[in-house]
Amino acid sequence: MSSPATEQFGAIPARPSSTALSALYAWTSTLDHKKIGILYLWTALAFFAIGGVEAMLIRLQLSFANNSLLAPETYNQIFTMHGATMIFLVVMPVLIGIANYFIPLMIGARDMAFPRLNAMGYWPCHLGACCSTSVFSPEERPPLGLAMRH
Amino acid sequence: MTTWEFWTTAWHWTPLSVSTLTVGLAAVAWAVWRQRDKHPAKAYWLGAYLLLILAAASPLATLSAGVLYSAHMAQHIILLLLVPLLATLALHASSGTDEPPHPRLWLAAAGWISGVGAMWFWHEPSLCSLSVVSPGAQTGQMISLLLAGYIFWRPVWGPASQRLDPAATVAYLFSACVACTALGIYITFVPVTACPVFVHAPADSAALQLVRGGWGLSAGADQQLGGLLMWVPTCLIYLASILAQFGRGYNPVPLEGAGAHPSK
Amino acid sequence: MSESIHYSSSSGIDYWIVALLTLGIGTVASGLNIIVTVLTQRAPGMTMRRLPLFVWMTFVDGFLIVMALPVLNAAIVMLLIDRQLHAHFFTPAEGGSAIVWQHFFWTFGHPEVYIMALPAFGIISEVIPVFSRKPIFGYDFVAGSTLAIALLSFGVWGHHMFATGLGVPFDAVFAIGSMVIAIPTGVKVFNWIATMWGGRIQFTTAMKFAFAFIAEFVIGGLSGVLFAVVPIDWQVTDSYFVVAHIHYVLFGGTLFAVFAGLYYWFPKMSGRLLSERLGTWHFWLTVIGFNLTFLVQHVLGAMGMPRRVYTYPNEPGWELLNQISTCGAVIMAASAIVLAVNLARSLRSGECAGDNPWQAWTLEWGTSSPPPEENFTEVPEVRSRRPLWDIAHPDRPDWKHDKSALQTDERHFCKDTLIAKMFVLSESFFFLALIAAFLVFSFGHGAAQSAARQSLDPLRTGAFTGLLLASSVTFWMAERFLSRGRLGSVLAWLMMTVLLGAVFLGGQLTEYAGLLREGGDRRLQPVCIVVLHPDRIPRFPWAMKVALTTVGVLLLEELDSRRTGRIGPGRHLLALR
Repeated sequence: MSSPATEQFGAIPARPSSTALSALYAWTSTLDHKKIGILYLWTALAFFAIGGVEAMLIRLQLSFANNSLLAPETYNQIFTMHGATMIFLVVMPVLIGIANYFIPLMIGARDMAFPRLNAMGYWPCHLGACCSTSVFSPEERPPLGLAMRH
Repeated sequence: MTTWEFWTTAWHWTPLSVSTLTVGLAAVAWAVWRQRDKHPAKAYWLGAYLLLILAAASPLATLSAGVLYSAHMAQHIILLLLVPLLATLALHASSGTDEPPHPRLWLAAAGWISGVGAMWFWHEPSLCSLSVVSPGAQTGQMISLLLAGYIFWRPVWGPASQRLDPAATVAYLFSACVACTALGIYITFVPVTACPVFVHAPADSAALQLVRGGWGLSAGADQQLGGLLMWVPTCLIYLASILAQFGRGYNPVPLEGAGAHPSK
Repeated sequence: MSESIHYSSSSGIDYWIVALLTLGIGTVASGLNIIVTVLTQRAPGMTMRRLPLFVWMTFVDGFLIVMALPVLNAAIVMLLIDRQLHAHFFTPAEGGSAIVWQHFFWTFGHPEVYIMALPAFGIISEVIPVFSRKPIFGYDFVAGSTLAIALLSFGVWGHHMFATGLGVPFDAVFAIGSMVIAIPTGVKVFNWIATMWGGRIQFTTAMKFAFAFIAEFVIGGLSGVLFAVVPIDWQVTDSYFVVAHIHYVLFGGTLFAVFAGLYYWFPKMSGRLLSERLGTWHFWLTVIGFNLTFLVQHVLGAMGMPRRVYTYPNEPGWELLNQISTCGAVIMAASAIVLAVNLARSLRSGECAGDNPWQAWTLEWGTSSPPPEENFTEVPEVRSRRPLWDIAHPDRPDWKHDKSALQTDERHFCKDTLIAKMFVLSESFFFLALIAAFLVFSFGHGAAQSAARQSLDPLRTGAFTGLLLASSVTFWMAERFLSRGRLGSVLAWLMMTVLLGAVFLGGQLTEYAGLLREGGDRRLQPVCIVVLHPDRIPRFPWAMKVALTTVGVLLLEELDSRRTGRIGPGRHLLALR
């Protein structure tokens, strides 16, 4: 049986180096949909923890009336980032990660149709994550507030 | 005048509506007679004719003749989408699938352009006003909407061998839906008048007093409602068609002997 | 400019915008890839009508991603232009419209709800049949209702804006439209229940989460239908009732399904089973914590506690309900720790799973756990929706009575053409949003009209766009002559293409240079600073430094690869295939 998905595509050869470094290189340069899927899932898990900490801070602030655990601006930042983190860095990556890992397996394919595009879809996650955590930077303090509503 | 009195008395008998209904009745009778050997789709024909009455002669037509823009819009939707849809279904309901499929791309292109084009064309402000005041333009509008509607629905529900395949049908209907939505959104939110004749309607008309006073529908709200009718319910018609097509794709007519061995 | 007091003037929002834009681009790329993969990479026999429901729903989801995300991208690009280049798309004082921002956000936002819900529905549609030991009830209806949800989701965004004051007709039409979308979702719930009906149900952790998903999602769905009733919406809008609703949909819905999927598929990904004992702890802590946290928020919302406030006065009952909610959150935090422990223990010393621990029927269980690099040594034969069932039960295979066996030939797509078409579809939604914004701008009152004319000359922009489009035609001509082997003509047409492209780029440069000059008195944020004010880089937030360092390392790596002849990151990125 010749599956249409058995066609070859080039993968980047790992550089001979120390094992930790070559493992890192293998994971960062991977085109395998399963590895990319797992990268998505770990990313989502990490941000689930971050978003969860944000949620806990929100709940702690709200556990008493007229509480002043968090400053109003800080609360607004955390509150906005809780939403953005959970939607864009947890739910979307986890769903795309599962889809990435299992769609080719469930339809009997060798990989996604465009493995490199697949990798390119994953890595911007980190740039986005860097930018979104910058919202909390002490250097440029933003009262975010109603960002989701402009 | 109460709403009840209005709906019972204000029927719209004009030379155009009478002749439309006469010609329509003759066409339906002829079609049913022609299909007498097969299974004439009487329910479809009945539905199409009732909708034609609603659009051409009922109080809706009275409202659409210079009183209420949203009624005018509803009339367009019935004439362009619903009546031709039911007529197409009725005309080709019994057409067999024994011919090999042979979809024609130019028919689809013509269908899309006429279906969407008719909607856009008759909502250009000056043409919209003209179609209310001039009997000639009214006749032209009636004929062109019905005809354009048939050309639009033919690649979807026309002769079985000339239909688009289900995936292409979804694209065809979805893009038409987007085009109508765009116009609907425009009419809903645009601050200028979409059809001037409805703003300058004669204030002494009893129907207008009912609409403005009784129903509390201002000219602005009326235009918004018209735009929304094109935006949301129109898309539901397309959507229902998409789903029906999808069902067609999921339940292919069993071919002789195909049940025994699956396709490889 | 005096508008700075009306909105957040610090750079936090700019980072937020860039973050969303980057994530949006990545997600669209994934969406395109999913669509094309499903249409072109299926194994022989795996027809569209035999797709596992998770694949089918993610496929439909791909279309939602490809069409909805560009609208958000367009909106945040305009927001960025507003903030950086002094445009006024969303500033009413200058003729823009803040309402338009809401329209764009919800044109994206409502489909986004379903972008996050459809794959969850798909996971549940895989888990429930396997642990009920029955095929899914009404496959066609589950698949068809997915399509209905996807199409309807574009037409109901108005119900997020009842409180904006858009008029009675608007509210009425969208109220009805929004109630309609509850129907296909309800169809699915009935299908899942009917699948379980009479089945031999196995109470694994995955199945428990699937059960809980149905219960919590129905609560979230019903409170959602309440919002379609305009007076109720006005009453509870921007209150904690909304917070409770979205968490029932997103946590009780999507995340519960993800947990179900995690317990179901983890053995395939790692080769090891998760502990069912810890799983049970995780499940009960999550369910109790979740309902404790969010059920009371319905009450808080009905009592009038607004959302998005950092604190509240001590109205009767408010503090108590908030404390219950906080207790629930603590329990959920505990459940997350249990999950982490379960994952860590299982990865280190979990019980080996074997290829098919659940006796499931879809193809992914027909290979080893974890699958080899090439996925399958040999793809099992697919003759129905449950290929592994057919192999396990050759005496009564599905395909003997499966309607999908009647399928005739399917269309074959070329993956390169297909992805190009899908990309054009995606871009067309991006530009539709931009054009709509310009139309709103130019229909505004006096000041707006002149501002619109000042900032964009439609004739000039149209001419440049025409040139860009013309360059596609010349390129196509070049390709035609290439296939005929007439190299001279090829070269001429190619030169013409390059020339047209150059004129277009030149036009873009002059237009942007003008905008940058006019907007130059304000902070020129992230990208511009790096080029224009490198001395300010040390004042960047640490995460931006990380990002910039990464870009720098990639550049060095690229230069290095040019020297050594290895494939560098640039080739890696550009050769997208």
